[in-house]
Amino acid sequence: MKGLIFNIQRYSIHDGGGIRTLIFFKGCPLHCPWCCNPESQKSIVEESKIKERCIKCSKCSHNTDDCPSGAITVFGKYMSVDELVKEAEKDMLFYNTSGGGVTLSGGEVLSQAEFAAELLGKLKQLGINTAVETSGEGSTENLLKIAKYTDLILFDLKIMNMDKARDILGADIQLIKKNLRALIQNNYNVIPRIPLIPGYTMDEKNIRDITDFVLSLGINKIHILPFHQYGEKKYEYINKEYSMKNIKPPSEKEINDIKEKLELKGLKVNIGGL
Amino acid sequence: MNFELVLNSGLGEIINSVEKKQNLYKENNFYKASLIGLKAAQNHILRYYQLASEMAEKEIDKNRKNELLEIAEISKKVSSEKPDTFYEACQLLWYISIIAQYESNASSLSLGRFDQYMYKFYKNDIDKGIDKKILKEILECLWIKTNDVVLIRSASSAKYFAGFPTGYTIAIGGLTENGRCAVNELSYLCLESYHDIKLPQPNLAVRINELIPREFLNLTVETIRLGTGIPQLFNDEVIVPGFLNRGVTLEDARNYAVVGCVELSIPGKTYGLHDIALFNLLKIMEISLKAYKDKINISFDDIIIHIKEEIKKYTALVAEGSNIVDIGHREYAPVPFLSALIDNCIENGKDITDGGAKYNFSGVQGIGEANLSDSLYALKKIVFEEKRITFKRLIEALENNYEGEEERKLRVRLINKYDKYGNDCDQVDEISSDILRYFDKELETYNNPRGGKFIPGAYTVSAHIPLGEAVGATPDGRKAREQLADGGLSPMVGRDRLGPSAVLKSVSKLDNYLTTNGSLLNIKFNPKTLDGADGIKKFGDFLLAFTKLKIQHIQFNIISRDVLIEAQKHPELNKGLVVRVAGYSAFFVELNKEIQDDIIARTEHVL
Repeated sequence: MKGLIFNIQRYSIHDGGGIRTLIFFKGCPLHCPWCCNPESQKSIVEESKIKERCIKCSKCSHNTDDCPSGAITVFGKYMSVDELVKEAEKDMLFYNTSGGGVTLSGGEVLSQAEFAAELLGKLKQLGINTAVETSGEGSTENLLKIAKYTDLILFDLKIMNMDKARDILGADIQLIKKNLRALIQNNYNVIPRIPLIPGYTMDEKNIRDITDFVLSLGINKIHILPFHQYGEKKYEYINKEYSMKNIKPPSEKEINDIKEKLELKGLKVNIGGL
Repeated sequence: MNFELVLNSGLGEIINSVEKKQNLYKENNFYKASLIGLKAAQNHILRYYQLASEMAEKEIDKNRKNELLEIAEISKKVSSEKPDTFYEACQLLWYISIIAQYESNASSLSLGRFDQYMYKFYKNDIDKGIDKKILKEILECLWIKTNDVVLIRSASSAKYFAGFPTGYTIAIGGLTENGRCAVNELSYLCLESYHDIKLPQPNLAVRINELIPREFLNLTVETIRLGTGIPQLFNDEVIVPGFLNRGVTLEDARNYAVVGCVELSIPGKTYGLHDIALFNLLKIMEISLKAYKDKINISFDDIIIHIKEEIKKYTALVAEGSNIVDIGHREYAPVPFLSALIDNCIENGKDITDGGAKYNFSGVQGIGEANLSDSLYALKKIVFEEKRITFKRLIEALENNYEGEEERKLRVRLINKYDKYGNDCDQVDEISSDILRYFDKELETYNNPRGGKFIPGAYTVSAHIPLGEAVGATPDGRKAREQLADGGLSPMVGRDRLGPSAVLKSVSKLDNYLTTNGSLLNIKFNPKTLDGADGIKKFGDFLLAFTKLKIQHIQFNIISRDVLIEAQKHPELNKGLVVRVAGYSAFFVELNKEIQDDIIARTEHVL
């Protein structure tokens, strides 16, 4: 079995504790307008041209191998569990000294659940700490299969209004809520995360809905991830329109206000991830 | 030099012991010369006694008058007696250091393991109830003094050692003689006091090992975070075994210190001649490739074999040339004052340049391994595996310095399409690991005239710029005369793309046990990475992984690219900006443009 992976990022220090290797799965059922990895959305190998790299040869070959600069490139590569484990093992020493490990991210890990479970199982066998970042959009059965081999699940809560979640993100919020509940009921280690996206997730009602839901499950901590513009260039690479072009990241004051609100309700808040 | 001996015996007692020897061996010129130097040192110190006394007499301000009287009194005392207090010990230490500078215009009279041999003076004072603040102030005065000395260099020497380094290097922490953790209260104070100083000297170095207390590691990281590139780190876990392999005793190996930038030495017992030669491995590759240009049916292995043959040939020449210079030092530039303070010279009746010291090495740096790996791997892929171009065509493109449309495309391909050293790719890393090791093993077969061996190192200081000027275009896409990779162990600028853990992994594949002359790895971090307590913890964790990977050395520039670019534009507004150059720090605005650009271009790890 192979998984479709679009990036492996080593020495990542804000995605689940310690020094970690991030494995990014390609393919996602959602289409959040602020997505910072737009190349992660489609479940196929995508061709792309990175203009900045192009050296303007007199005749373009339009071929990945022949392009000397790497401007003509593809996003996505099918990789086996063994190949990924080999990559993950490269930074074992760093995991050991820092309490780090491997984090699966996306795309949506749940969309390749069986592969993810196999990979996570193998990593656990080798004594590697595992984490998964998920939107929760996927079958409960698959989620629980993955959770079995995962030390920490970072679970996004974005838009709580059912209609907006469906129209803007393509998400089924009832399913997402059911999934988070299932994880808690089975005593898995979960931290919910709120992406702070101006115009989408930061309004008072949404934050209150998230807080109420989280508290009703007995969860006592939460991460908030302020919006950033790092993903902008990538929309160009895959020729996709970017609707968040001129949106400013939330100000420090806005972030702190939300943090305080959450803390008042008794939640332990972290900004930007572990 | 053996500061411990000077501080525990005093100049008077040392003079007595040399006089005794001289009476036994009247014809020995070394003893005569040493005595002249030692007595001159006494007189020199007494001149400060006189000057301070005279100044005190005329001084109206009462506080200053008392200070001057204290200076006079201490100077008089330490001109022959051993010091008792921390202040006296610092004063004598500095006199001796300056006098040794007079003798040899030495580029690096390093202070060895200051926190170890000074601890007893510090502890005595503390036990007597002296305020730690006063001791800290004395220490800070000494730190400022270490910036006073500017060595006179030739123009070419200034290019190889950019930014006026004087190398008041101090190794703190590390191991005791019996292998326990050597960190003490004074080790902490050395770092704490540097937070008030933030100058290029003293060039503090922390010796790290598996036993380092977390609190001391955190303080080390907080000091690194100041952004001056100080302290640099040295790894006991690989350096101590490395010295054992060179025939150094276990106790001496645990007592190693650092001279100048990153040169490893057993303090007070060694004449290391650390910088006798630089060996440009990339130039050897260039010569070897050109020699094979018209050969038909060559394989990649043939090329590697030929490079090794050339290394063998040129190593012999380097050893021969180095030994000629070594003998020249003995004949024309002995250092009898310094030698009197290095173990075994008095017993042997010989100057260090004549083989008087306990350990005698000659250090030669193998330079260019990153470019070597990148070049040979790209060559292997493009010519022998993908067969996109013939060997001859590639060499022609190099000779033309990639001029022309096809050549331009070729160069871009060589840069972008083949893995590079610094990205934890075994196939690439093993090439330089193999060749550097071959050079190391070849070099260590040679003897020097002082009864010691040649030992390899892997650091460039700033010589990667002039040494790059000597090499034509190379198959890693480097154009003729462009710089080589900085540091010695660092990846070529901008070629490491997978972050700092991958860089460390690549470096760890070199046989770092062999480079006992010292090696150097530069890493640049964006200051944000070290924000807050969590940033400090994760950086400390990173250093512990470095320790386990058995890499000898690492140092950091923690300054954002924008700050450096701004300083280059407005030097007048940034006179105080201190950055890491090689195994030392310097004022950024005092560096020439090439070195400034090099530092700006090094990959900045940002997360």
